[in-house]
Amino acid sequence: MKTLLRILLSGLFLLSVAGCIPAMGQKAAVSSNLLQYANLGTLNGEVSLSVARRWSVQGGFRYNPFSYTKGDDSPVQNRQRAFSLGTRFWPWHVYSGWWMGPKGQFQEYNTGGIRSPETREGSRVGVSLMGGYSYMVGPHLDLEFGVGVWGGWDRYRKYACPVCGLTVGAGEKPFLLPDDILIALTYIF
Amino acid sequence: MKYRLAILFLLLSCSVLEDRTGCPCRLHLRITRPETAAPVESLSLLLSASSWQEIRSLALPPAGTLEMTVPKRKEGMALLAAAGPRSSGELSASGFEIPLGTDCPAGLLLGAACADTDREETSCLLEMHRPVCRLRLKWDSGSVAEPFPFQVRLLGDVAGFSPSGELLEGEFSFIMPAFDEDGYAVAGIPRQRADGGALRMEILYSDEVLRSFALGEIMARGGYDWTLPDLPDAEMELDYARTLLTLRSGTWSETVTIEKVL
Repeated sequence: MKTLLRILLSGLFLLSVAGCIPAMGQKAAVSSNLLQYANLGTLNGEVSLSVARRWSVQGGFRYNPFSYTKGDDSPVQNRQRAFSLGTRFWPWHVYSGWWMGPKGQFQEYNTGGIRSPETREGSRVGVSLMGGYSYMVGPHLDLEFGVGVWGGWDRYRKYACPVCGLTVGAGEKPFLLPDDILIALTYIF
Repeated sequence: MKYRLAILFLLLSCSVLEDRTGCPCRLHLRITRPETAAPVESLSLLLSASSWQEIRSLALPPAGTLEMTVPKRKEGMALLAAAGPRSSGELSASGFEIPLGTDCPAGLLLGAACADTDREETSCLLEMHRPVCRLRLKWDSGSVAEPFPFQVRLLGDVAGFSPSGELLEGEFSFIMPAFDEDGYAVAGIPRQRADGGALRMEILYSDEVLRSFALGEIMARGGYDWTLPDLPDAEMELDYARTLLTLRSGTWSETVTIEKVL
C-alpha cells in the first residue's frame, strides 16, 4: 500500500514537472507510458522537441526503485533506471499519425524473485528501434501506441536471491530484447 | 521548477543495484580431529576480526562440516574452536583461558585457522588438535605405608591460547589432587614453548615451597616434544625416598637425579 502511494505521489510529481514546462507552440511534448506503471510501478517520462515538420528528437527515462514482497515474504523486483535519447520520423506531421525511429539507451537493471529467487543485475547499453502510431484525442492530447526492439551489450551478474544471495554467474554478452510496448499519453504544448 | 527538476535528477542518480556491502560472508568450515580423539559433536567457536568478536556454540554434523554466515571483513578473520569435555576453561574474547587454580582440561581439542572473509563465500579447514599434556604423576611409596605428606603444585606462564591459537601468556597455577589408591595424580598442562618454557613443579608442605623443579625443561630434555600437533600423555614417577625423578611418556623415559632429599 505504501509503495502504491509512493508511485501515485511520484506520478503526480512527474506531472507537476511536466506542467512547469512553458508552452512552446506545438514544438514540444511530454509523454508517459501507462503500461510501464503496470510493470511493477515503473515511473517513466519522455520529453520531445519538434525540430522539423517530420522530425522530432526526444529524451526519456524510466525509473523503478521499488521492491515488493510476495506472500512468503520473498522479495520481487523489476528495478531499473534507464535513459534514452533518440529521434523520430513522422511521415505526415510531428505528433500525428505513424512514426518510427531509433534511440540510444542505457539501462541499469535489477530483476529478481518473479519466477524464481534468482536475481539478475547489470547494465545494458544499446540501440532501440521503435515504431508506432499517435492518435490525436484533443488539441493538446495524443494517445500513442508503439512497440520496439533493442539490442546492444549486457554486463550482468546473477545472484541466488535478490538480497545477499551468492553470485551464481557473471559475464558480458550481446543482447536483443523487446523494448517498450507503448500505450502512452502525450501532452503537446 | 528548478527544484522539482533537481529532485527528479537526484532520484534518477540513485542506483537500483542492490547494495551488498553489508552482506555477510558464507563460511564453509571443514573440521578434522585426531584419529585417536573421541568424535566431536559440538564445539565453541571464537570468531575474531579487528574490533569485532563473537562466540558461537555449534553442533557439529557427523560429516564434520559446518556452514555459517559471518560478517564480511577485508582483513580476514581468526577462528579458534574448542571442543571436547571440559571441566574448566572456556572461550572468551582473549581466547581459551584457563582460570587460575585449575588445570587445562585433558580432553580439550583446539583448532585455529584464518579465513579470508573479504568475499561472499569462503572455505576453511579447521584442524582440531590436542594442545594439552595429560600428566600422570605416580608416587612410588615403596614400603612406606604413610600417605604422601606434601602437595604438588604446577606453575607456568601459559594460561591458555589466544584467538589465533598462539600460547596465551598468563599465570598458570594448579595444585594437583591427592594421589589415588593406585598412587596416581593427574593434571592437564597446556602446551608450552619448545624448550619447556617456565613450567615448574613445586613440592609444598603447609604452603611452604620445599622444592621446585623446572618441569618443562626436564620434560623437554627427556624428549617430550611440546611442538607436536597432538601432545601425548606423559607419566612421571616421583620417588622422593630415593631422590630420583623419573619421566616416562610412551616409549621414552629419563631419570633425573634430585640432589636434595625431601
